[in-house]
Amino acid sequence: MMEPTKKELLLEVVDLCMYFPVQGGFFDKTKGLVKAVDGVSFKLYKGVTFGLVGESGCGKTTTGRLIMKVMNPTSGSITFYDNELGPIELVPLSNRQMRPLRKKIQMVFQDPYSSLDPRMTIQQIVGEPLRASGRGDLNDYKNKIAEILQKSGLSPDYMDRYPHAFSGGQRQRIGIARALVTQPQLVVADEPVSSLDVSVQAQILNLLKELQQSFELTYLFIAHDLSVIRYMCDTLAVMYVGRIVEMGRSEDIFNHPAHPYTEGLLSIIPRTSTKTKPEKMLKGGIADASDLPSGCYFHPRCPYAQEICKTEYPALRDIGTEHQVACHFDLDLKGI
Amino acid sequence: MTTENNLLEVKDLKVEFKLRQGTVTAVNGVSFQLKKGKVLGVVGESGSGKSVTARTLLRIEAPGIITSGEINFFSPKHGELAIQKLNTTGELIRSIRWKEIAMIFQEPMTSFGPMHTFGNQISEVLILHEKVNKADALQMVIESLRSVGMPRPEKVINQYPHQISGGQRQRAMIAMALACNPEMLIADEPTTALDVSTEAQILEVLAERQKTLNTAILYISHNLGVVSNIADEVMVMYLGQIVEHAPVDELFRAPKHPYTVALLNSIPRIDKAYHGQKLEVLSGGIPDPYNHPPGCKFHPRCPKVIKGVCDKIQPLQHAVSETWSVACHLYSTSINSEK
Repeated sequence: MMEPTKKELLLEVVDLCMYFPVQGGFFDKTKGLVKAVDGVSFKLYKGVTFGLVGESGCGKTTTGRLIMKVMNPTSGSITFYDNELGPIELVPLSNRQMRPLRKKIQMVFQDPYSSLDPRMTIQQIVGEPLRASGRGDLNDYKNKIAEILQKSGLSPDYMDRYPHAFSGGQRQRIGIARALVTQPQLVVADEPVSSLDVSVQAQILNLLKELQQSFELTYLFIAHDLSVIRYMCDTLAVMYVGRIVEMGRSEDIFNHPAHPYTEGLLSIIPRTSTKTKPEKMLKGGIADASDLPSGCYFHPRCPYAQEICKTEYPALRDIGTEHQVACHFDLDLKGI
Repeated sequence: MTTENNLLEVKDLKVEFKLRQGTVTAVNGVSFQLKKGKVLGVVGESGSGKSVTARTLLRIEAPGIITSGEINFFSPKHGELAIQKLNTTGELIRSIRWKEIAMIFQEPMTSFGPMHTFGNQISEVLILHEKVNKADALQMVIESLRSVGMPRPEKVINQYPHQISGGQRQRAMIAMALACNPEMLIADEPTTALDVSTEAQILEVLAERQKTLNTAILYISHNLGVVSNIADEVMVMYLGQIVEHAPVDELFRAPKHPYTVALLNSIPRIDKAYHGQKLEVLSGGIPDPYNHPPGCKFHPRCPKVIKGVCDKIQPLQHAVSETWSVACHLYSTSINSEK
């Protein structure tokens, strides 16, 4: 695993919250709040892949979108440590002020079919971030585009074709080339392989790793597939209904999970080596974010729940080197 | 292999799609047997013909055409039936669909009609096949929904598909498929669109119902982990052909066909620490469907290709044990002795 010798901070998220109003009734009065992201804090170090994992509805995608500044958080701060400009607080920036920073933080999307404009050529698609972030016309950048396409495993001869001519895996390569053409420092990858075929998945995952090494990239890697997370990530955070319940080095979490939710997630992954007979299977579904349970949000599904879990939400606490958990107890849980 | 316990025998099945650009042979000489009460897994990349094979068994392969081969189904009611000869809209196949062979589709979002309640949709099956009245049918629907772990089934029968989650919809689909206690169930990627925890729950429901009702299942998935947990035997498909067929534990412990090996190695494993190691990647993609390579169809991507053999001669199924067959020249005795 890539362990950087000295850790340089790239992005720090502190107490990030995103509440969506639930509207209804007379004049669309606000009836309640959906706490999609609720007090999330983490740090991203340069050259590291940080994973966000959880079931659908846990707020992992919303967290990624907030970092991209696609929307403004309800509260909290996001600090980006730029290598030229120093620390910049992203939350108060307007769209115009954000513009010069966009080329430094880029995104790879989940669905390679809907994330490429069918009426643009590959050259236009990949060149768009360059055009948007700098001056001059597309032709100046032709070499850059050709270079990044080559690095992404596509022939530059394809530059004048349209997205429909490519397979899912090739489209995802185009999406990756588009994200990397401006030489970003941070790439947010939201489920980049979950809509791809198994053999293509491996190609794209390996490509992302190669590009990380050659461009010294930092990834925020969002996925629900724990096998993919284990392969890709150095550190990771497990989210449940908008909050981080466990965070730490990938190997620690997979070998010694500390939160019952993490244990549950690990136990239900079907694997080819053994027949899984999950005794501690996760029961029920993820809690309703607009009608949260009292105390620890996980207690209705937790096999270890005690009285205190019904009344108090446990704070995230340190339990080892860079290992944090939000659970009242020190449980002896089963890893992989 | 004994034939007494066979519920379904497929022999040399070929299904073609005649398109303007040419003919696509989606299923190209597939043979297998499904035994009563057993689970047969089918794995392969997209485009390998696994879904078309499954749909052909129910004769919903159109616009595909069966060009050769046999599908023999041993129906407890009708005796031995040559399914490939049946009229796709005829009385007989319609009495088999859902009553004797039911199917669970991949997309829980689109496989229910949006305009009818679950009660109406599921009871329709029972009214048609079990000749019961509406009130009794609804009672049976409630029971059926309860048996797959659906919470508050009395309420769900009056709900529309958009009102419940994807996982619950897939439960309803299973309840509908099992409502008439079919002999055989085809599950086409039933958990692919679902969350991991929901997937585990659905798999458990399916496994439990399979045991109590002794239903045979043809389980299609590209998730090898899922297949290894639910299936007794597994067959690996590539470009419309079966390249390997073996008992599930043996196949995953020591895969023989280079394609199976490559497929297994290309999937990140939850129980392995990679420490910067790369995944092994299958080179290239699935070839052009209109122009399959000559000889063994896997040879352009195969790391163990034998020049002059694999690119010329199509490999036959070689039995490496009584229950294990591989379509690969590496396991053919004649070619190995020549070397």
